[in-house]
Amino acid sequence: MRILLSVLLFATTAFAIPVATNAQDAERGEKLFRRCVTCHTATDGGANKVGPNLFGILGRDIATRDGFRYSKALTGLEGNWTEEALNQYLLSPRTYARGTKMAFAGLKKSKDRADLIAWLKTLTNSEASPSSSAKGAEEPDADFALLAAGSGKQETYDNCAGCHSIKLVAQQGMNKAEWLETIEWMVDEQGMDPLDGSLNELIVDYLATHYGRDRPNFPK
Amino acid sequence: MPKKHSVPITQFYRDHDGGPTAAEKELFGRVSHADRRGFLKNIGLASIGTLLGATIPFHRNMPAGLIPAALADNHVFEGKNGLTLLNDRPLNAETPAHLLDDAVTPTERHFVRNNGIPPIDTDAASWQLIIDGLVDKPLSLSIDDLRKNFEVVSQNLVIECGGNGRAMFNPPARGNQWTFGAVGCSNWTGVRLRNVLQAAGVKDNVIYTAHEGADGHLSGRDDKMPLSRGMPIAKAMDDANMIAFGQNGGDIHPMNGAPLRLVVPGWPGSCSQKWLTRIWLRDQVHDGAKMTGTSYRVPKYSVAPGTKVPTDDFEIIEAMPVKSLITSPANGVQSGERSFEVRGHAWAGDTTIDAVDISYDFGVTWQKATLDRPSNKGAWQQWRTTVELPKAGYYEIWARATDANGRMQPFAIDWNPKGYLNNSFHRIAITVT
Repeated sequence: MRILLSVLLFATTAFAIPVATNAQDAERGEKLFRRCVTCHTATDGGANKVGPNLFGILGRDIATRDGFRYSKALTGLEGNWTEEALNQYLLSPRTYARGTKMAFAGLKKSKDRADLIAWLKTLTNSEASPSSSAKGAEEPDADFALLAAGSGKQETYDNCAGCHSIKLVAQQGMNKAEWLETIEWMVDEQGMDPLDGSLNELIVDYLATHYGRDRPNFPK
Repeated sequence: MPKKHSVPITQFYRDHDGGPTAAEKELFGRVSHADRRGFLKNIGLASIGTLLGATIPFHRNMPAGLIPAALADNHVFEGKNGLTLLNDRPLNAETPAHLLDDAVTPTERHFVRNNGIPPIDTDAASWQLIIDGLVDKPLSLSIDDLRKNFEVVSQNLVIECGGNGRAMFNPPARGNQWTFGAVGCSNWTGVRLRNVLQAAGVKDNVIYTAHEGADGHLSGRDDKMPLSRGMPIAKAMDDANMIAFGQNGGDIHPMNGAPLRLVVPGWPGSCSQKWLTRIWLRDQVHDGAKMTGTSYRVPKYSVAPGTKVPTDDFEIIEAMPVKSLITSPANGVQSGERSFEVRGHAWAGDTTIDAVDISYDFGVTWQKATLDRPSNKGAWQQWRTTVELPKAGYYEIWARATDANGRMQPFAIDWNPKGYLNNSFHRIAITVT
């Protein structure tokens, strides 16, 4: 029995040695990235959305994408995004960078993280790019544009679009009590982090004003 | 002429060696004007216009390399045609009533209701379905095992979202604002759920099933499921239920749950778990995600619109109510003819339809439509009738189905807090010129 066990262990170890990154991993990583596109673009010169544009993220100094307002949790980190740093961050963003704005809970499977990083690695210009502005215009985010203008729009976008489309918000019609209850339901049953009091108030007021029972902005 | 590309448009723009501007030039023949604004050559203007179904009055102002917003969402719709997008994350899209005219809903016209993030790995060859819980012999089955060990059947089965018709609720109810088209009746190929459960051996104390799929929770947390519903064991043993691996003679559409899903006709679509990985049998009512609280539940008694109902007073929705849909003519058309055929489908949870009546005078008089038998248990039924409108003017055509138990569609919505089970008349407008 002991012999058999050690043979099995040996076999497992032998097969568990990670293989070098190949195209197939990156391809799978690209599919995995679909979970990220609500908040991140990855094209050269793509816009910052809820999160920063990720083109060229490998090797970039942490929290240095132009025009993005990073949390203190990210600006407080030293160094650049190495594969290992990204691997740790993606495992559990809120553990690695306590206080990060990124609502994503993390990728628990090491293969998922490895594949995603393999794909992120491909997002570089092999030759020197003339300038990022010449390559592609920043696209406005359609989801952000969908929200009615008013106090609380930015905060509503930042705190909702991480998990679901703004289209879902804009088709609702609820009063203040119902919006409050909806946020409580998302916290209780949908894994949302609670909003602090004044932020919650601002967002609920915005929603009840623009997406109230009379549906002033119903998109149909 | 633009070449034919099978990649999603966003990917084509992103991956093009020369960047988005060059991608645009190749695809549409559009070149950037010297003043850095967009400029459409005749051919480019025509081909973008054809895709959008309209000209672009402000095309000179359109930045070079910009994907028209109307096309940018197209990647979520690959293999779907004509659906209305309610929500792209999670993906929810319904079919306009007039595009549901076929007796068997084509794959590209079947609605999509997602609760979470679709799985990345959906390889049919390595897919495993586990049957466990209170069974004599837990099973782990590949799709090949299902094919080899059980009778393979094909049936036309209705799947309808419990929230179909929510958009008409007043006061509004929270959730995706479905209008009429969160329903479809595709031809599903697979094995009967009952045969698989019997092979595992259902223990005497089982009262409920519990279903799990491979989709992920919206928050990205691995410890949470987006949806895990079940049904009483008696319903589960109904002949019509299937574990399906084919849709309309081909593969199941990825957004409809490929490579394996449950199809439980006549009950809320959420019972028909997509990306099915596990069915376990329990001796209690299943308490998985969206089984509890007020999800897929209605009050046990009628309430006035807008009433706040205590959670304890809700009960689980079982069979869907009697309903009909007018699929021709389309809503809002103008007709030069006073006489034309009106047709559509009707269905009623676990039972069949006995009659469909049509009115074109706001319900004062009704005429009986010709009604087909269902092609199999769980399929919707086709009906048709010719109407003869008296003179030019605006009309509404109303359809009203009656089921085999004598239950008839109501005119008004039986309002409930979560916006389920709206089976009020489908009405379409027609103007005779």
